[in-house]
Amino acid sequence: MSASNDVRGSAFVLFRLGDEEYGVSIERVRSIIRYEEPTPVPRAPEAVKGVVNLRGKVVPVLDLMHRLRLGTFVPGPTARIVVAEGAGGMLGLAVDAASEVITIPDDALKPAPEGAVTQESAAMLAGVAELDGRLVILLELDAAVPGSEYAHVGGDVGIGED
Amino acid sequence: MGDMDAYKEIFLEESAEYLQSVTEGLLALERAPHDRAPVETVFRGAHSLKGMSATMGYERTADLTHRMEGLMDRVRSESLPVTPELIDLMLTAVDQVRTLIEEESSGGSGLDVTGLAAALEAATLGSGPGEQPESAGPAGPEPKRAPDGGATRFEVRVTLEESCVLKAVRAYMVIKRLSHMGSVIDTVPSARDLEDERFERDFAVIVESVSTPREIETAVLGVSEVERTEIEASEAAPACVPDTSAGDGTCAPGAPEPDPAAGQPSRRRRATIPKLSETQTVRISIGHLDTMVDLVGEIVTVRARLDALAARIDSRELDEALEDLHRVSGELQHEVMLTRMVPVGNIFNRFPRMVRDLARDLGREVEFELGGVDIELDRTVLDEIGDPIVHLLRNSIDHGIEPAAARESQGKPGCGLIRLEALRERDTVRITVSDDGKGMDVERIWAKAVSLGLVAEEDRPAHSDEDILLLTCAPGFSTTEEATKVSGRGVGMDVVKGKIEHLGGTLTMRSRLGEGTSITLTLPLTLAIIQALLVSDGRQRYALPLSSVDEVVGPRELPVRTVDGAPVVIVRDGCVVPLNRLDALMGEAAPLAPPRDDEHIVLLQSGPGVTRALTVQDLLGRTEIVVKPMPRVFREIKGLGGAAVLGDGGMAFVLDPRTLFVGREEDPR
Repeated sequence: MSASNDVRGSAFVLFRLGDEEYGVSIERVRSIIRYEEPTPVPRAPEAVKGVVNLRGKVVPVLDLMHRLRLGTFVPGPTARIVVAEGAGGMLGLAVDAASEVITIPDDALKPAPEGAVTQESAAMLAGVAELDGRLVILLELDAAVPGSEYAHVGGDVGIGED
Repeated sequence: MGDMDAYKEIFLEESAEYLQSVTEGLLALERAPHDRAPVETVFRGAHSLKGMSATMGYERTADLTHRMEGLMDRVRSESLPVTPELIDLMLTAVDQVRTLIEEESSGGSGLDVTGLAAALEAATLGSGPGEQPESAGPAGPEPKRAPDGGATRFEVRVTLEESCVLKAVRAYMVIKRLSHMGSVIDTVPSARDLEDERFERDFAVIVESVSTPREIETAVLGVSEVERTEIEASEAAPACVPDTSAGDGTCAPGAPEPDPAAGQPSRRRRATIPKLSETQTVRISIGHLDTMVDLVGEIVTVRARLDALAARIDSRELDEALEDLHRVSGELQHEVMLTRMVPVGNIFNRFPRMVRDLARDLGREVEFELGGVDIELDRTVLDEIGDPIVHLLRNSIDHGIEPAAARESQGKPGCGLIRLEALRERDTVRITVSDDGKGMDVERIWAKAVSLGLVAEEDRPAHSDEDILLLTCAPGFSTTEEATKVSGRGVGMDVVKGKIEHLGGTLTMRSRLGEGTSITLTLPLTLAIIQALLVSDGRQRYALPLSSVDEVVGPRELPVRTVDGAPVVIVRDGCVVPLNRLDALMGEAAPLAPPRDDEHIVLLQSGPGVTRALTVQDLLGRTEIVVKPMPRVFREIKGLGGAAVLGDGGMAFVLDPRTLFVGREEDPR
């Protein structure tokens, strides 16, 4: 493989979640801030840790650990919030560390291995990339946002139900 | 015509205004065919549209409006009568012009208007024998030629003050004003040069107008920093402005060729009049205003932070400076909010045409009245309520107003009345759509709601008539089986109600069988910044809009009783009001626990005339907050109307009293 400069690829922001490395397209990332404890939102689903105030904007912070069924996020000293632009607005991702931006050549991108992940998690993954022995899991940002299950969380009772 | 791009947005806005005034004129003419004033309005509107679109290079629009003008000119000279057919034809033309403008401004060229053009032509020929209509071959209009309507071509020479800084802006304002009075044919130097400030102090505008030179002078001198103007009436081609100070002050490239047929100046009039007055408005993009509102919001937040700091530091100097900051930022906030206010007439004025067309389609006779068109509303709110109002008007025509014969047999006038009115009440605006039609049948609605499973039959006594009327706003509810062209499918009262509530407003309905229906939308005057009462449920802070808080009392001041195990309070007028706990509504706390002695009870309006009581742990005081919308992922959560950043940088959720208690009545069971 000749590592010439004009290899086609896309840039990703890498972050660590537990023992795994994840990537999200740099075009979606607006900012990376030091982790601060989000204000919990009452009646919200568990996968959302709450909201933070990002320069006057109210940004929800997602617990990816919870979303990917990896446990619950516990912030360590290097914890960050990766703020990205999702289809439904700004979105924060609680991560254990984030520092690197890399370009992944298009031909290094592979679909997520079947069977290794649950069907629900699979929808959140755009694929994997292997780089010099590192395995990077690429995130499908919009699928990571909890959607349909909202209505059932928080104990809200509709008018029509008796 | 690339140098006109910068004016496109302005053109689009202004052409919409002219189309509106033409429409209004035509509707007025339909009601009073012998009134001369609307004829003039329509004629002038068509004339201005012609000139504007020709200037923009929109030839097909210019051609069509030219024909409209021609037709109206015949009406104007009283050689053609005003007939319903003529009104219809002109209204159709208005619609086509609107479409054409959209198309031409976006570079399209698909719409075929030759049929309409021919119809206008034929109508113009109409009953006026011997008179030749103006030829309109493929060459289209000839905007450089003076129109037949008695307009004169003027060369308006303008000299700006030496100290003038925003020369391009002033030139633009002059051109804009002149375009209101007639057709701007050309400028010297070119529009592009004016826009790029490639001129010294002098420029000239060639304009065709029916106005007098004096009127033009007044208009031009009304623009700020105009030192003097000279107006020359002429049939001549535009001459170069003598510009001694500029090196390139000759005819700018791109100026149209002089019209060889025009010949010598026929009339001359020169005048130099000192500037009289200056009143001006500026168009600002709504994006800038939104940014300003956001920034003012941040100032308010910073101010609250400083207040907290000052309370700790205790310095008189700091307090004084803060007082000034309060005053200045308060005024700033007020002013910024005012810039966002727009009269409701801006959207109301498009309804008369719609009501007329609909009434015709449905064979109804309807008189349509507008009221309170000067009442102002926040632009964001106004933009959102157009569709709901359209829906309510359609309902009134389709389901409210009966056919004339049916009305007369009931002793009502054959012509129905629909009224759309705005009213200001404290910090809300109420918009009411009322009709004198057949009204709504409460019992029929009730039966339908029972059959749909929305309510239980035996609960009838617990429902007021108004409650039952509101059941029509439940999703999927409709008492008319067939979907008519007008009411359509899918979009119903549920969408209207949802939209209004999303804006922080409420919808109420009144109806009397046989007498009519009236639906009122109560809307907040402005969004964004509100006065709020900060409370806490022991875990986090919440903001209650002060406008919905009636009273705050200690638990000993009001007797707390239980009804069927659920706590209630008895308020002053003897009403029994359910008492909910904020910590239970927002979390897992026991909902039935009575307030402790150190807690507080807040009495709130959770809807028109509906009082609810809420137990909160701490009262944290009153403050101004900037309400930010909840991120979309939280929109499903009932009871939260938004979020606010507090002075200490922390966040509080804004409680929405209208939805906070929804579905909570049955919880304890």
